[in-house]
Amino acid sequence: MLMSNWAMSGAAGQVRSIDGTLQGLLSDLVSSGVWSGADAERFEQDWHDQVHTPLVNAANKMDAISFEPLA
Amino acid sequence: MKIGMDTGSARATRSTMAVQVAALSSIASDLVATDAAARFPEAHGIQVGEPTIAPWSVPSVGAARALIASARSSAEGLLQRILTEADAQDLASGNDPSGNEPIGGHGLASVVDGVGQVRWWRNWLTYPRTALEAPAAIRMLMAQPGLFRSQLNPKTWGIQSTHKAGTALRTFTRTLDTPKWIRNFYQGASNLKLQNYVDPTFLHSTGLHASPTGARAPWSLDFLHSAKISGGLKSAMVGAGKGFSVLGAAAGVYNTVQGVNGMLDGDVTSEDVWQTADGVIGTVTSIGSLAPPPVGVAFAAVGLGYTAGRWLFGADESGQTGIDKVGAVGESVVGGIVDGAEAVGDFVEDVWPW
Repeated sequence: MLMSNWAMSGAAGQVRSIDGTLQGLLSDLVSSGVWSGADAERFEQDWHDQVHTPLVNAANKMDAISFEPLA
Repeated sequence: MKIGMDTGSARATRSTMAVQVAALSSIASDLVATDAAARFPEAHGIQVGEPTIAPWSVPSVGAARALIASARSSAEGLLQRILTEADAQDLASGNDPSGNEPIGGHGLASVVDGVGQVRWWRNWLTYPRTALEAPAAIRMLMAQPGLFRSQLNPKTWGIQSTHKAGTALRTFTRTLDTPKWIRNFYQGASNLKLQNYVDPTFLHSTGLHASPTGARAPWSLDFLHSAKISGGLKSAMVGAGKGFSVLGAAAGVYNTVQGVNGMLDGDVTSEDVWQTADGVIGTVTSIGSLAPPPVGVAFAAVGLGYTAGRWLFGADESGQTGIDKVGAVGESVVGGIVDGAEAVGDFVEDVWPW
């Protein structure tokens, strides 16, 4: 589906929301004793590098997208 | 006993995370459609005067799309890692997720931790083993000139215009007026053609393009045609190839035993089945590759093909297939290009005076 200006803004917010939820679940997983040790720390770092950072960057780029009438 | 992970809670959290990750796919698909429409608005029904992505923002749409796709792919792989870790924890502690006690006992289950390493070794033993037997495969092809000339030689593919162009180029490079560096370049490139690796007699033996097997033949061609390899090196290659075959067979037996034990614990997982298949095929192809060519080469080729197929289509410990990895590389290249284009766009936007 083609995205309008408001839809793009909404999608950026949705990406941030999903990222926030995932960060909370990740915290539950590795910081609440569910999973501990070196593997858990490596997982958390990989998640930060490979998922969290790209999602934040994607949302920022979506916010910066401009629309204009087709000439 | 749990070691480092409450597997039940971890699986539940993982499921919730998977739902969130799946929600990214609709955003990603919308971005794909919007990206395409931004590049060709008229083709997507956008009329003059209707809002569309501004030209300077088009790279941002592509970049956002690539970032979300990358994050989603990585997240799926990482979530698979949680499952793999939970399975290993359950097996190591004797708490099978199905509730069944492993028939082989805890000691047997505990060695499963080494499976990944064994599989890694089995995979990487296959490549050097087959590569070392490649000269034999080449010689086998050389013994089949009819097959080679009809199927493998590009000159027989019926591209007449290419043949004429090649003839004209060869004639040009044989003229004394042609600069020497052009003649050398042509000869060097010509020597590297596929057919020369299979049959060195295809190298020109007379005129300005002479010296097919002497100092001007490419080293790679000399190496492949083992008649030119010293006796000591040839023996070493054969010995190394056989050594890899023996190691591959041992790893195959180990994988088979592990796979069967995994199935006997009351929970036959796809991992168990694949490990058994890996073990049986690895054992058979490794032992078979000990036979003289062409039989040994055929077994080695089957082993290599199976390993390559497993790498391409099978998921590793992080849930990534070989295709995923190739795609990720391509995606990162495209992402890099998009980022570069966006940086240029940003720069132009910043310095544009109006």
